Amino acid sequence: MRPASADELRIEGVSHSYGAVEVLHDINLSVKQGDFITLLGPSGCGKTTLLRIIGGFIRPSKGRIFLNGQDLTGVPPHTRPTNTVFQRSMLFPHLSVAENVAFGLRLQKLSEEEVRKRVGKALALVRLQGFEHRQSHELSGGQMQRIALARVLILRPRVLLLDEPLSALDLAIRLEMEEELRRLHREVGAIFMYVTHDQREALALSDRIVVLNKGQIEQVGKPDEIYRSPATTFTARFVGNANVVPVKILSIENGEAVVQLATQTLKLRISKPPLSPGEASMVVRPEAIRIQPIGKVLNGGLAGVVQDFAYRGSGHAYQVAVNGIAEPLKAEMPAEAMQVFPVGAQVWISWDLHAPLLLQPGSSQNGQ
Amino acid sequence: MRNSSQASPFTALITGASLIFLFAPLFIVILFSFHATPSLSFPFTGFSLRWYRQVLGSAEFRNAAYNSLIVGLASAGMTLVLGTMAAYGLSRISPRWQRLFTVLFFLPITLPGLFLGLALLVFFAQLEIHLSLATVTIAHLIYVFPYYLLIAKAALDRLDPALEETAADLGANSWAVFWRVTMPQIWSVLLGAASLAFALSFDEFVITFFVIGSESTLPMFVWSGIRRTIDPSINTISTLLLVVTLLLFAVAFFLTLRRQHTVAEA
Repeated sequence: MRPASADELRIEGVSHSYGAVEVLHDINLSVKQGDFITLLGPSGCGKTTLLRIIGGFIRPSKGRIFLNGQDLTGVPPHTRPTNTVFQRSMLFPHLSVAENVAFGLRLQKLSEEEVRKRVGKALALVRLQGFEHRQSHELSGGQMQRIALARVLILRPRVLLLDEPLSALDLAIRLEMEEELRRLHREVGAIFMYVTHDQREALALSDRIVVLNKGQIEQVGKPDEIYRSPATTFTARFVGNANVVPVKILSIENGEAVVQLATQTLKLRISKPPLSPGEASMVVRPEAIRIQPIGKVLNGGLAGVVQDFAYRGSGHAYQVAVNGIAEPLKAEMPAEAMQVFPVGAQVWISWDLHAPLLLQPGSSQNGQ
Repeated sequence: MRNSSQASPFTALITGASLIFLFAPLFIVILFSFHATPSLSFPFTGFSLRWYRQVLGSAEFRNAAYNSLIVGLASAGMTLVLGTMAAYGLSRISPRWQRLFTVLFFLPITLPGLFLGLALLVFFAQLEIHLSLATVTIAHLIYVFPYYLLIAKAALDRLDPALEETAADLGANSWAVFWRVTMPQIWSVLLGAASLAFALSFDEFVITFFVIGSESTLPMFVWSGIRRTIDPSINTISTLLLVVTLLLFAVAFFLTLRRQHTVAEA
């Protein structure tokens, strides 16, 4: 294996099974010092199991975990240089806020003076100065998670594990806490490993995203890579809710593919070879699709009927049924769009030549 | 609408009669413990504290009370330690073993006192263990242990295991987790359960009768007193027993309830 660089978390060939069910299969991943990395996937994809393996709560059936070349695999949670923030903040109900934050330090037998100083600093870090003497049940959900963060950050972990820490909070608090997490990450400089099923959160927070599906890594990449060039149809659907339409590639020439979509033949620019003629999937983001009145026929496009319309504040979300395509196409128009099309309206939908992405099974590029 | 189902005269009658049957004997026992004459039947001829003076002045009574206190404290104390360990262990083993051990631990509750007393007597005789307060303490331990375990296990089951995981994540080994996270949350329930164990031991008679040998405890003293003479001093001792037991139950109740309250808040 390659030599470990400084402060690097390395996951090597980790597999895990509960009984006969394999929840993680041969996960390999390395995380650089100070990276904010997110494990993103639907429930049951194995992301929380992987996090708990790194935290030491689960011993993997196979594989090893290294931090700076030191093998952590058999090390119990209480001696690992990792700390976890859980979905529920798990504050100790019998202790005050200050004693909750001081919990880890008290075990290290530090002087009272030192403990008090560091508790004060930790509370300041999460902007809850003066909360020392509150009881945990007097706090709001967002404050509880801040205290849970202070309680682990006070220990200066090399790896901070966050298991869907915001999923129990209201949207407004969640957005505020995202900002808070980005700031804390900049100030603390530890590896933050974040687990979520919320693609918006993953895109907003991460330096890198690991998309997990059925216990395997689908793709690893920067948020914009994951969003703009998903490697698989799963990633395309899961991140950004893209339309995935089955097409047939008829021929490829000069960086353009001639594609048969339903009854039409379209030309698409291809950015990612290798593709070969045959079955493929066309990925189009909802916001790349334009909807126009049926009369205005443009070059390239499809006729369809509006099936559903939802007002989203920032835009209009449509579902348009197109003959020959099984699933209706999702389209998002900016809110300032001049025209709103009611359900049942005949429309013409189109997209830029370079907007769709073509994916073929087996030809997917790997974002490692 | 509600009244029709709630207060039929028949239900009221049954309830009233039950309460009278429950509390009238208690009341009469307490009343005659203050009787001015040795008579134990009506008419009641006047109040006096003479029987209390007589009982509290008696060396035999004080010896029996002291023995009851020692046996109660010893069996409750041992139950506190062993029962807590058992409950903690039970909450941490696989469900299959948990079922097996739960049945084994709770079996003594289902055994008749006569059977348990006789079995212990035979057992001690086989091992040639001299009957004494020590054998009584062992017998009481067996008797009160399941009750204690029931309460302690319920308290542990209410705890969120994720809190212990959190403590471990923050650097606590299993010893520190137990003393810094588990115990602070359940100690009052455990103390309450131990008071209950003490109360059960304090007025246990049937099993004690078999394994006590030549010593005496308060219930034994009452029993032997009835065999000699019947006068209000028996009522006095019973009343004193009642007060102690009620106080202990009140303490147990308060401690266990207080805990539930804080859990609800958190």
